[in-house]
Amino acid sequence: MNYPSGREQFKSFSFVLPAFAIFAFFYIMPFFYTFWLALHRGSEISSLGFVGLSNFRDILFHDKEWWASVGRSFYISFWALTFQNFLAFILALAVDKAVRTGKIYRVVFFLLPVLSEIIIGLLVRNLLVPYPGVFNHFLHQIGLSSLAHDWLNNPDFALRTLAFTHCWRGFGWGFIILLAGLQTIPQELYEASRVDGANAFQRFTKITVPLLMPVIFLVIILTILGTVQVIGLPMALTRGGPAGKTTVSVLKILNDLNNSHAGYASAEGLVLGFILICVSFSLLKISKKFKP
Amino acid sequence: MKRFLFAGVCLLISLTGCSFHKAAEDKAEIVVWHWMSDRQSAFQELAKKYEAETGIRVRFEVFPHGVYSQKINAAAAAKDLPELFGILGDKKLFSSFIKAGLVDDLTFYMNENNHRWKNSFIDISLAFNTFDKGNSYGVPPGIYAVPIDTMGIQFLYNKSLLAKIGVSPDSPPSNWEDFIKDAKLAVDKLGVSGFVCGWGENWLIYCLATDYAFNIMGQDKFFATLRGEVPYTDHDWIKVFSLFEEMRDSGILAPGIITMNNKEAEQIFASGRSLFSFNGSWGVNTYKQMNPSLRYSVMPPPQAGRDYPVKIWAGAGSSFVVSRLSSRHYEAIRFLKWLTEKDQQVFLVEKTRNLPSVKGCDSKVSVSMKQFLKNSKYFTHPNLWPLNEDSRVVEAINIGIEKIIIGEKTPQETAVDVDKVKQLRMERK
Repeated sequence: MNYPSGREQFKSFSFVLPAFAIFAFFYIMPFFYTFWLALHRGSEISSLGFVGLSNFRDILFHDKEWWASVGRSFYISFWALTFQNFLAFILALAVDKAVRTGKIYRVVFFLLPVLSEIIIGLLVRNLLVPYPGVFNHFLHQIGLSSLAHDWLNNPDFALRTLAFTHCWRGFGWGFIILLAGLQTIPQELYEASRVDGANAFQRFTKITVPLLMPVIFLVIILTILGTVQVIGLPMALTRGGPAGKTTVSVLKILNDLNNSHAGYASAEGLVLGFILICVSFSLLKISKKFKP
Repeated sequence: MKRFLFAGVCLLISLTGCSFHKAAEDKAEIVVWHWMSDRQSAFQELAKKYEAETGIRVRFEVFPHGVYSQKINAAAAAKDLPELFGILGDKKLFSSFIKAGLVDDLTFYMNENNHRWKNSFIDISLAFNTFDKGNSYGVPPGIYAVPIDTMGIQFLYNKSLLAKIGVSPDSPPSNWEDFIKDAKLAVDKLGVSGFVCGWGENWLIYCLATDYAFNIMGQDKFFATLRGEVPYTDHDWIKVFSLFEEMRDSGILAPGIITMNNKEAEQIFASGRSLFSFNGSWGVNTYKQMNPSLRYSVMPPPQAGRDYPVKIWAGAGSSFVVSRLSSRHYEAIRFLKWLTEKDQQVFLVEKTRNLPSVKGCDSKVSVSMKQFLKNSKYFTHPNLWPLNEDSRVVEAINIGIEKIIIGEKTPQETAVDVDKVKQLRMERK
């Protein structure tokens, strides 16, 4: 076997170097800096004090608020995984069949994810605030007064409102990815199954779902990663209130950063990252079992 | 190989070219970072005027309020701060910048020419930026920032609504019982809210709570609590928390107050949908823009305790510090001196409707703005306290009070929760 000469190796590495330098500067260094910061107490100016792993100990064993915020993030993820993705899947199936109007729907459904979280949050907030109470007024008008609530300030509804708004805003992502997946399934398979006498349900369960499984898992992973990291929406909608009922994990990290607890916030960020990595790898492992 | 060398040299030139360009640009200008987007156009006008007078260019760069602190912290860590910048945070954060050697001590310049610059400021605004000898932050004594405006946070009342419920607009309630009674009358008779405030921005809850802590337990006991010598379960603290319960039970709070931001609260008060509000002098601008015919006045928070005065948060609204890292700090200080001269302060008052930080602008300050500086002997602010509460305890107080308002906890339960956090923080220290 002929190994490349030193000069050629240098040449090859020189092509990779700019990309590696950018990657190291923007990804590797911040990661190690975050870890270093997580071992300290205070903010990053002059009051940093080395505390070892005590931030991690506090987060893992003492900080109920942190775990409550993680719980809220996963609560929203649950709704996103079920309601949001179910809606995205149904719409993708429908649009896949609509040959002539498909493009219009693609644009319409993808419009919401393109808009910023803050804009959606402010829009929904303006509809739901008790005064002038546009949405509740609408409910009264159509005879559904019993459904009118203080959607943002009532602790029983605030998190649900946030979850629903997030699903409403986010279903377009899942829709586009699932639609792309559906369109990669060869039509010949459906035609052959029709010849063999398979009905629509059988075609769906035996062809569509199995062949779409890798895409479905991709959507699930992206949904979890995207939802757990949501921050703009709760900031615009409720600012984490009432009484912290919509303070999701990333918002808690931001609050700690703003309160000069950069070390603690870094540790929280690393713990959250670790949770997300575990969830993603578990899902990837499960997805391998479903490979067609 | 030659081609590689050529490419390498080009890359090097393009990279260093940026910094050469920056250095050349920097020589001619002073850069100022701030978060006051509503004042950016006024600042830019002043910058033009300054350039015309001195030939020195001043560039004001505004960043969104929400990310400003992160921006400054990151720039401080990278030692890449501009000549002038504002610090958005408490005195502890301010002191950390000083201790890190990032901020110039301005005492010498303040005291030049027989304290001329120092004496030009309204006392409370400068006290904000002063660290006294033996301060708890461990900062060498001195004046470290220049206030560009002043603020006060007090109760406001709608004169027309007060008259409609049969109370003279010139004698608003001075005690808590009357305040609740009048607010309730407004709800029952007029169908408006009794009280509105942007409590979605939690610090306003802490502000009101501490005003009443001073009033109910007095200054000494309040500071003893901060030192950890008095528990939050003390009956006086429960009285403070109970005030919020009373407001909730009397039904005077504006709907949605708990997630309402300050701008929304200002809009509700400006449109005459609330009798009372708790807000700062910066709100004058919103009221003027939204409803020029709004008839309102300012009053100190009504007394709840009988033995001590109620305190009012007031002081420097925004301040600029001079970076010690900059090679042009003398130019920056000269610009600050110019910015705080009467002409420029009057211009800022007229353009931004904020209270000036220097004396002698009274004729240009509107009546409603002046009222915010009434009762100055009761002014206080966390930046003037000998020590500050731990931010986690402050957060626990805010969340606890919110829980009282939504009916999830009683004042006693909140007191226990806050005290637990306080104990934990004391142990950590």
